Amino acid sequence: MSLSFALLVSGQPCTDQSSLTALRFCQAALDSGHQIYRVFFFNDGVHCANRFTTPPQDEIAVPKQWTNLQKTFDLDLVVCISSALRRGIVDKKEAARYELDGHNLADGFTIGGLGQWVDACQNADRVIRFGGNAQ
Amino acid sequence: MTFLYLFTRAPYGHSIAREALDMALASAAFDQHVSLVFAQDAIYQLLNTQDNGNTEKKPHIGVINALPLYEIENIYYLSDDCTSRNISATNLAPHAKALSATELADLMRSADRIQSF
Repeated sequence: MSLSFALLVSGQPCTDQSSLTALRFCQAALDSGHQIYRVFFFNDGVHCANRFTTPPQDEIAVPKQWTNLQKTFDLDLVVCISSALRRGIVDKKEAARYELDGHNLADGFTIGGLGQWVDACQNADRVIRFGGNAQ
Repeated sequence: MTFLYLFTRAPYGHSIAREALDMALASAAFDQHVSLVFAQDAIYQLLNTQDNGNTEKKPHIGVINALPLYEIENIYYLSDDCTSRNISATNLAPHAKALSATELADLMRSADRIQSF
């Protein structure tokens, strides 16, 4: 049976393993013939969309991996606008709106509202969150 | 669709308490049936005597008090959390209702989507 999944990623990619786990889950689900309805990046998860992320060469840049996966499978990767703006993740449009001197949203991501997460919860067969409640 | 949000965090100290509450408001704004359970330390989110003075954050109780405006009427806390934290129900937002552990289990069974923050 093929299922569609909505994923909520709320973990900071450098601090927390959860966003890489989400990435691997996506890959595995798609390889097994399931669909990813949408991946929604929320709270500290929005840092996954920062294309300025520059780890040492022998470490994984999480945003790049999401960008690659998005390209391969045409994934719908949505970054929560209120979480993103608070944390300095902006696309060209928001940078212009707030008169910022740069933008850092990685390729393959779009900025959207919580309504898109509500829509994903309604339309996907399963909802999974990656990123625990760090105390 | 019935959305159940199960909160477990105190109002201040981590942004997830506030941002998850915003998510619940969005669900209600998009015409979903929303229930909120403030379990464990999240019961402090309902305290009407909370003082955000030194946190440099907006007062959490403002959103809590606005919940009925979003037509969110199913707002709950657990009686056990009141007892273990020595909180009197009279100090909690008046639109919140007490639940027993069994009632919580029933509520969870009846929900289409459960998200915990």
